[in-house]
Amino acid sequence: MDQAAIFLSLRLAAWTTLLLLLLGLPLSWWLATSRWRWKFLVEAVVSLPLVLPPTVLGFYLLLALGPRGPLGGAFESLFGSTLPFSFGGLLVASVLYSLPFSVQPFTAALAGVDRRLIEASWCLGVSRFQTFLRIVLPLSATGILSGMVLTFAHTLGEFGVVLMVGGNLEGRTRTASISIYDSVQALDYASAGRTALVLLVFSFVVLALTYGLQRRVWAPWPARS
Amino acid sequence: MAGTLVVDLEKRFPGGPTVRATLELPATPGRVAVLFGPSGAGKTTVLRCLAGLDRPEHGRILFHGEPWCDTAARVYLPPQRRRVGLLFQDYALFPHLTAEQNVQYGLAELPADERRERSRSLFALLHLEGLEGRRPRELSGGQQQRVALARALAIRPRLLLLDEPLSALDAPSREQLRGELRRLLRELGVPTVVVTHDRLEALALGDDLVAMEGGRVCQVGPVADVFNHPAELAVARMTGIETVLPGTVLKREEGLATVEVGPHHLVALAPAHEGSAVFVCLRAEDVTLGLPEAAPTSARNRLPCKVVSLSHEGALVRVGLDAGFPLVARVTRFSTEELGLAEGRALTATFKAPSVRLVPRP
Repeated sequence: MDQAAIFLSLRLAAWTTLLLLLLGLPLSWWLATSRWRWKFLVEAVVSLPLVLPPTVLGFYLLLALGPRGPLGGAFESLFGSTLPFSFGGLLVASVLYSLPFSVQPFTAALAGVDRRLIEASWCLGVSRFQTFLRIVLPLSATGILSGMVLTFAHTLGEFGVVLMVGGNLEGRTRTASISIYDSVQALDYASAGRTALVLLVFSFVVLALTYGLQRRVWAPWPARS
Repeated sequence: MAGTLVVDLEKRFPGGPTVRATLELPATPGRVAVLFGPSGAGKTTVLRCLAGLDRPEHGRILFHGEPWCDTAARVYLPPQRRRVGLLFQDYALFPHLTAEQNVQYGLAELPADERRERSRSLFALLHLEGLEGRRPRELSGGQQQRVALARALAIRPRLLLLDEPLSALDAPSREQLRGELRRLLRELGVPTVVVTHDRLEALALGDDLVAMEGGRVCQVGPVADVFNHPAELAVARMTGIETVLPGTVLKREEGLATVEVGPHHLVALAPAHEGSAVFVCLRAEDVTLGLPEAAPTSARNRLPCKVVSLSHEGALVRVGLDAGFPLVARVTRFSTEELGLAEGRALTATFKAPSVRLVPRP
């Protein structure tokens, strides 16, 4: 079993989920409330990773993040290191690749909050930001949690983009899914099997816990029986 | 300027109607103004502009002389800073909070004991004691309404706005709450604007009435004035005058007018406006029915007629008549029996000159 690879995968998934929570919520709130006529273009861009082959996304990312790319150049002059084949590069790739998996459930959840509750809060003198924290977030918690779990699980299972951007450097960019592929290529079925089993059990436990908890604690009102 | 609410606004909806409202209302403590009209009249739009939830394209809103919105001067006060208590039609209680948390929601900046004290006195005032820990879905419609009202009152609003406050309730609770709400609004001493399409609600709750139709204000005035002296046909229809007939003023003398309606000449108080084309408006309650051979009375208008239809409305009976033109009377069930009313029965309909309202006909 490749412990280092499993921990790297978990670390990547956790960071991706956190970043997408911070970046995805404002974007989703904008998508849920804006009446801008060209909004559909933004929605299309956000959803691109759903249909694009991971290699296509990885290819463009490699170009953009490389030392001669626009993002990579700026990053290198700021931090003195390059993004491709590093954890930072993996994180940028994962955030983009998992964008629809958080933004779509987030947007659906936020749009489901009754507009009048928000307006009632404003009339009671509560600022827009406080209204978001005290009304919108609690009432959309279920959907936001779903989005986070989907993002986490999706990042854990990522293969193509990670391979394109991160390569296969042991301890640095070799994630669990790449490690399994590696082991199989080397005909080390025992190691591949153990790593795969750990991923399978872990994913199942996380999903089961989430859906189990959602039903009771997170529901805004008790379920009607 | 002090003690008034001045509204002069225009709000457009893309692909929809335009609402233009110009009105000035007394906004003194405990005074209730009713925005009255059929659905789609623009009442709720005016209310939302008052709350700051909709932003008019043009115009201004002055409350006690303070501009809440003035597009010419680029002044716009967001809802958070207007301190209005808005009661939504379906109450919009926060489903994830208890009744008490709902009421205290707008008081986050007060110290905890003051917050508790304020909500306790509101729970007492609105007879909600014992329901503090309930969630909105565990409350009845009437209780939800009172919790929502308590929540709106908790911030000590300068202006209270009620959107169709009784429409989400079933008929019996509506009857009961209509009177209670009136008393309460008096007691609270907050100027209030109520939106309703219900005539009884308008009569029961309002001091002043703003009649609206098709996105414009038709008439503003004390409730009784508007109901008894509709300025135009649209208002007469809204306030529920059953008989509206086209007529022609033949002559005016000594304060009385003779109006030709169908085959008859009616006597009415001479209208203030010029022109001979009028609508003759008559309330069913003002028409008295008698037997054809009955002795004359002081009522100036006596018309022979026939009963066309009878329909029961609780203690009253609505009688459709043919007097050469359609006429509606409303009498008690007792009178119906006494006169032996039945379809085809010949009668005399009488009504006094002052109960005939003349409204200019375009």
